[in-house]
Amino acid sequence: MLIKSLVAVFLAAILTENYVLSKFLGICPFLGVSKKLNTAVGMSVAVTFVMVLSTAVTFPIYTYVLVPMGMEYLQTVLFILIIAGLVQLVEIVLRKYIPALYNSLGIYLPLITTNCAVLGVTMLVLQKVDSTTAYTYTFGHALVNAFGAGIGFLVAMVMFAGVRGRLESADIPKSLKGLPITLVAAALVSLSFLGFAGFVDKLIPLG
Amino acid sequence: MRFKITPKAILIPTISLFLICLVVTAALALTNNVTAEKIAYNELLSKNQSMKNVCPEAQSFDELVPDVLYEGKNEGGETVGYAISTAIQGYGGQVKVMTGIMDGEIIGVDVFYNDDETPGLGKNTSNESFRDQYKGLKADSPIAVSKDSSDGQTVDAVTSATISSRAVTKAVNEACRIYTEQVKEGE
Amino acid sequence: MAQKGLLKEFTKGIVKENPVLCLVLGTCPTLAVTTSASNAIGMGVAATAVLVCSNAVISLLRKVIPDKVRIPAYITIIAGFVSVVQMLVKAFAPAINDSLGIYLPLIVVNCIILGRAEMFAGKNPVLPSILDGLGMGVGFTAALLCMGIIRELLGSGSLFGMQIMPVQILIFILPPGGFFVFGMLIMLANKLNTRAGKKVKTTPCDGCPMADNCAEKTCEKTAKEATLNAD
Repeated sequence: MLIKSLVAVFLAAILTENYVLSKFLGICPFLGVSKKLNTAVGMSVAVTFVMVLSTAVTFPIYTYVLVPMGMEYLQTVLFILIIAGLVQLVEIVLRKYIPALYNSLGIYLPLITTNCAVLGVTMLVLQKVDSTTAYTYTFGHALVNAFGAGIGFLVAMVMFAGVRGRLESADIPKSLKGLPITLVAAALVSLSFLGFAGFVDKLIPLG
Repeated sequence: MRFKITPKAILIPTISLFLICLVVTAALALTNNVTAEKIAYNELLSKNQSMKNVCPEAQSFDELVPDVLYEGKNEGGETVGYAISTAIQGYGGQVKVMTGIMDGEIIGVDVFYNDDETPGLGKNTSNESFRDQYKGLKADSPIAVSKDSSDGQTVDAVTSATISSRAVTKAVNEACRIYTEQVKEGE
Repeated sequence: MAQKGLLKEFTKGIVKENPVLCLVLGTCPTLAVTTSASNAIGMGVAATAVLVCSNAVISLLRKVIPDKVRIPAYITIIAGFVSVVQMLVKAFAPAINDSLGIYLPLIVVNCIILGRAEMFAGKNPVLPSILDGLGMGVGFTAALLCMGIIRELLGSGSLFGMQIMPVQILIFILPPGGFFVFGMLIMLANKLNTRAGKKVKTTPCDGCPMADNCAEKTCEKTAKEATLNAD
């Protein structure tokens, strides 16, 4: 039952609750860094990493520090500072100890601080914690959700990089060139994600 | 590091950042102090409104199970219904439903939180035409969406929002179960 | 003369440097909360309030904040104002809080706000900074309202909740409709800009405060490195 619900959380985070295509979080990197496949993948891996890491820190802090002290109002300030601090820390650690990884991922790290998808993941998951129901999210669910959200970001970025590759060679009206046609393409990609609704429906643990 | 590390170069930024954090925290604590009561009152108000929607005859509510089960009483102190609050995972996020039950029969359903559902689709589960289908159904046997099952008690799903409709139905079933466990067996 | 300059700080954000349609910043809320016109106004007003306050405070403190911790300091100040606005909205306009949901606290990562702090408020006196924030906020609200009206009218056939059209094209209030309407608006803005003989933005990164250490430059750099490594 637990494994089933974790799988459902994971799939839902990738497909039906895709942070880019249905929640509109992280649009800037989605439009800006998706021109080439390798940069799209690099960015997404860095985002996934930071998402899981931030959730692993913010979730316990919120549940065991802020809530018992009645200081939920500090959530926004604290979370954004934790994310910013973590990103810095990861950058320093990577540069010092794993230079190979730093060279491929490190450059994406500074811009993740202000990526709303990361802050969104850490905050949205807390809304699903409701101890009065049996369907509450635990720490494990939160981590899986963060990982799924990152993979969902990756899927969207990779798909979109493919679509944009085609756009480069397409003959499009002059006024649509650049951003407008990119957005229209994004509309079509997000339309295709609407089709996943029925798929995850079978797996969502409604009891 | 490229720049020289002197005590001054570390201390000044640290102290100023610390001071900014301190001031911001103080400002937030102050605002929280001013608004907390009003926010709590707003939440209570919306919950009460929802309980009143599903149990219109009741004048006051007694909390039997905290945050879940409420007993509605009229002016004379007679029980005129039970309001049960349940939450379930919908399409986009949580869906919170208030169900009113009296004598084993559903007298009203109110979807009081579904802001994470898709506007125009899942959000339509809070429309009266959908909610009123539950009225008069029995609490002792499960309810299903007519698309899934044709036996027993059914409701028609909102067009293109089967998942959200199912979520509401599950929440109502959960409320019926709580009613059977807490109220009926206690009698 | 000075007054004319101040007026320019205010008006530039509304048309010439509209943060959404010309600078292409703050795309997330632009797409997410514009399913109805009233949502768009709620978001616009909340963001404007944060923008004006943070611009004012950052401009006041611009000589005090050490350059090295500039960005964290700005983020803390902005996050503080966002939380204050969130609490006030929760207390006095709970309906707006419910319909904006998570996007209300996410104003903190709206690039328009950090962008203005970095590009304008950190370098200019208080009064121009306030006017700059106000202008950008009004421009942001106007663009959001424009999106909101189009999407609500086509998607639910209503305007500010009033039913006025018998036909509804649902797709416009779903996510794909958001991308599509935004694309069309940008096209319109580009067309007007090219007619006026101005340079057109091709990526959303050009006006982004983080552009220096990110996006296109980084992409090109990595792509080059990647090809070098492959060789």
